[in-house]
Amino acid sequence: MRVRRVIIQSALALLGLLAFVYLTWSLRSLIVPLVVGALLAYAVKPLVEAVKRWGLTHGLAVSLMFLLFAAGLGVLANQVQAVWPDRQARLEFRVLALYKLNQKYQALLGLDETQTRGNALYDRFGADLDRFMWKIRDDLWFTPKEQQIFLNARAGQPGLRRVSDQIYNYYLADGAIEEMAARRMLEIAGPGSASPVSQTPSMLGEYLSRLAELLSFWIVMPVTFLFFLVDDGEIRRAVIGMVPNRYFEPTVNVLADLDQTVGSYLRGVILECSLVGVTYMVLLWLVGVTGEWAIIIGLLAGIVNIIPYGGSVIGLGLGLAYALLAEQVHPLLHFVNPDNLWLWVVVVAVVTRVLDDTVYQPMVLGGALELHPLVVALGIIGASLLFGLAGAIFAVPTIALASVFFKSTMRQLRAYTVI
Amino acid sequence: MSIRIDPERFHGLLATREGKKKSAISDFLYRVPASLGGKAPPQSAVEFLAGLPALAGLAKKELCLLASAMHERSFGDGEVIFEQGTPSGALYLIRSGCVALSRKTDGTDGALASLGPNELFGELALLLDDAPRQITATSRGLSDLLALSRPDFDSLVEKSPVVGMKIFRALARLVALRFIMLMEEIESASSK
Repeated sequence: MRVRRVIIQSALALLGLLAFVYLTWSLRSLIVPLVVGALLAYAVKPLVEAVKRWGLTHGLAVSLMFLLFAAGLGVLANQVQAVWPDRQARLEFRVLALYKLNQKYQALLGLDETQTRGNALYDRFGADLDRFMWKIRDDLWFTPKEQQIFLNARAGQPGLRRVSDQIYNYYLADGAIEEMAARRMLEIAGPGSASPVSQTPSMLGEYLSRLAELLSFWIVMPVTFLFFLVDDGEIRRAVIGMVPNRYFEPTVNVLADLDQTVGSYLRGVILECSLVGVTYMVLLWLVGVTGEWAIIIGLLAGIVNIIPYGGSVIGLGLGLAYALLAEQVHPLLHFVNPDNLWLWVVVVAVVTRVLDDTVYQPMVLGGALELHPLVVALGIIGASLLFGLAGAIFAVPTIALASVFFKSTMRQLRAYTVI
Repeated sequence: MSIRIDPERFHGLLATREGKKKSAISDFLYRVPASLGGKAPPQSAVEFLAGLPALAGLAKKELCLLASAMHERSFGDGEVIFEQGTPSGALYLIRSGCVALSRKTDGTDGALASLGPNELFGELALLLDDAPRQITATSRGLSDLLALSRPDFDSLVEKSPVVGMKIFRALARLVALRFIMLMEEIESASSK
């Protein structure tokens, strides 16, 4: 009888586990917004408690925090919308980016006007590099519809800003190189491998539609944020209430360990990422990146810095992209000019990395969560495969949490002589 | 020398000590209201705490805060609440039922006391860091307890230092009373 009960209970537990795994996998797109909402709520909880000390009820304190959160999101959305370029500005930016890219490519490989002869580097790797450049150009170059809009703007159609002569000249130069590149691709790979003008929607368009799809999932984030903020320990109490008496004290202790670890880790990471972001902003501004771009690059580098080396990659990548496109710079350091700006961006990335490793991390994290580099690398790869960029961002905190949970559980079970 | 405390004397000693001048702590610990007991109607934790004289100084809001930090646990007959030698994780307050306290010395179990409704035990969990349990607590019959864990208590003190101070004071008095009682037991055992 007892054996049968154990078998039935085990089978039900297994079924429950399978259902949980299936649901988790099916709803994986929602996991990251859910986690972000929960973590934000967790980070804001101390503020709610502080507000409650002024005499406000929990409901009022939560309402106040949620209003502040909503107002903050509104202001952010407004700011982003204000600086976010419209369609025509994006087309002009693509023309400029393609022109600068072609210029640098030609300079690097010593290409002649026909784009078929170059230096030794081109002789050795020309075919491969041309294929790579063709893919980038394909993303940047216009679809027929975009081309029509651009030309209408140039012709001064009402409702559109007139395209400047400089940008139009860049467009003509881009078009000429695009045709030569198409001929070159035909030589390299044969007919059918290239089309002078992309007939399919560009990769950029696909990325944007995927981004929009992703954003729709993020609607759940504020809802989760509010849900966890409203909770005044009921979820924790419910979890503890389900635990058998024998495991009551160990469970409370494990949850306390997790609470302390997550709290200190979150605070530490937020501070570290902020420091990295501010360092990028200041140093990039010093070497001549305009204030608004220094802020944007610093913000992105700071956010992505939650992934080990992510901040460096984003800071360096965006900084170099800026250096590539910049036509003139006004640095505080007189020896920086548009030609050597890329080198100074590299210096900024290296200095920030060194500061992060030697000052910021030891100062704010104190090596409290030392994870094996291999575990971190595998975790980031796995999480990014499953959940994309957001998965990579939250891989390390999740691994840290799982590590603390496992260690604390084992310690408590041993102390209470359960195992 | 092993010390055995007679459960009846355990109550009697304190009753004598407090005498006519019944303190809030002795009421809190040892007075059993008629409304409580095995057949008492279920009370909310706040109502229960409000009925304890030792917490008379706490406002309704503070009692709510304290109740929200506590966990309701039910134990079956013979179920061990905590065991001697394991870490001290929580203080327990008896809402209904009976709890037997015992201590194992030289391999033999010795009964120390039997506690009833409104009494508390395991208080060292809130006072000492990493102190192992000195006794074993076992439920006699069905017992409904309120548990206040160390992490929850720390969080409560952080949220409301006033409530924390009042509870600390109550615990300090309880420990002092038990210390005095223990001294008397030692004297009594030595004189024999």
